[in-house]
Amino acid sequence: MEQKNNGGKTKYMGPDIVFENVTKEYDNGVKALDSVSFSINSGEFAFLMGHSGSGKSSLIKLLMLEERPTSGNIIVQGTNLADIKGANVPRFRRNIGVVFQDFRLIQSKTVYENIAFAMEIIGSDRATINKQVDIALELVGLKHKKHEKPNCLSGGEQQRVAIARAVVNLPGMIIADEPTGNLDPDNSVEIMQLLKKINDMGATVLIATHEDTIVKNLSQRVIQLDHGVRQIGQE
Amino acid sequence: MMRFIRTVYYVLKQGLKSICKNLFMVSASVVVVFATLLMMGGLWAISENIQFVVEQYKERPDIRINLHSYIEQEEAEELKAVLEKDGRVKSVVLITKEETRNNIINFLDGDGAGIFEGHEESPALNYISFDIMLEAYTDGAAFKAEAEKLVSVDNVRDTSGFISKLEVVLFWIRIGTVAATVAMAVLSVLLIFNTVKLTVFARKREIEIMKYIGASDWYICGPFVIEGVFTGLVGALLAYFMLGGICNGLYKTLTQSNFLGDTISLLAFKDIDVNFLLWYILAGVATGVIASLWAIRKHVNV
Repeated sequence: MEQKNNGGKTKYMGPDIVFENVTKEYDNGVKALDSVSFSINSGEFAFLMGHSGSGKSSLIKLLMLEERPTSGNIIVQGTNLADIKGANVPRFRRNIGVVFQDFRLIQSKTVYENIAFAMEIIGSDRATINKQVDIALELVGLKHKKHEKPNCLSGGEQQRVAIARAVVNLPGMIIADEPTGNLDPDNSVEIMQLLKKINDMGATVLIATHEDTIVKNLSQRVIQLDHGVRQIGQE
Repeated sequence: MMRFIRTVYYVLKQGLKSICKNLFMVSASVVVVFATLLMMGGLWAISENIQFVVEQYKERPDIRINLHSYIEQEEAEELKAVLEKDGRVKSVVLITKEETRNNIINFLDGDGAGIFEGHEESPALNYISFDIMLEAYTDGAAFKAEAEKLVSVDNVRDTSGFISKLEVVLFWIRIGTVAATVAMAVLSVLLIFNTVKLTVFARKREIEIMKYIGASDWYICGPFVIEGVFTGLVGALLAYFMLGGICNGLYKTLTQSNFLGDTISLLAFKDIDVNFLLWYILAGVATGVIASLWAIRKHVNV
């Protein structure tokens, strides 16, 4: 782990995500992850591959602090997640943009309101919200649909709104759980290209998926999971 | 600071929106809080008045001994000395025949006092009495029984028994107040809990998203707590003004109608209003906050 003095500020320079022998066993005895170790560097683009039940979702839940590991350490941007207690979890999550398979948009809010919501909860002022939302919509190419409700958009457009919401607070890291799972191939490619574009702008991107074609098309790093065990030989 | 103000503004706005959307159930909860606090305050007012009546009775002689009219002052003085030696007696006041006569005539003044004209020497107006205060009013019945056996004594009036009965009534009213308040408070919490739960259910998806994008617990809980606080506050204010109205109305009616006579007085609402409004608001708001936090708690657990 390195630190660099950056104009008086100390900036963390080590890997963005580190898993050290992480095991997750649920109360019902199911072992979702078994001694998984890997690291993802800052600014890296990586796929988390595996079939249903391989432990991808559990790994993402651990990263989002929705679950705690049974053993092992998870270090995100230099912070051991074991040190983040209840009240500090929301603050931690603000540094990570998250995208889900089912978009998770609020149907009663417009595109603009859905994206602005992520800034409202941290108390940003209206001028900053307007500016940032416009930039995020520009990025995902949906500025012209800012006043539409999600149910008026296609699946691909809804996922792009979800990505805009994930990036609007300028997080250093984007985690996407099966972001193309509900999309047709064309839209899937568009979403992946969008996520790659965000990665090119400097954000670390981790995408959980089981779709081989998408992974092959992008030729990026792959972390393979099978029944909770990392399959190093297949990566 | 501005960030905090903006967040508070959002929480308030969401809370008020949620009240408007859920107005029927919120109204039902307000009614239950109102009924609980009104009943609690009503029972409190009754028990305070009974306590006040008991205190008035305690300041009066516990025992009035009326002697036969033929007993003269000298003999009465001897009996007074005997009574004063009794360990149960705190004080004895001798009322002469003249004082008795004047008291009766004054009591009936303008209301038939004239019937005694020419009968001033009647035995009915001319007897000596003792007003006796006991050390413990619970000795009243036994003391009365013994006093009645004295040959000089015509009759004995004991008011201590009435005080005992009132105190029993007071005790049960206080028990009833506590029991009913607890029962109604539980009912209020349950109803507010259900009302807030409905809102939580309607916004479940939104809460889930808020959690993922980093909303703090208080930001998520805030609107629901506002709903609970609103319910408790409105219920408390309605109950306070209704209780004040009922108490003042009853006080006025009972006082003006002379229903209780001149001997007993009651407490007006202002006399029992010991920061009632503040207590009501605290109780109402606490009920609302407890119920709403209970309803939301499992949804904010991360």
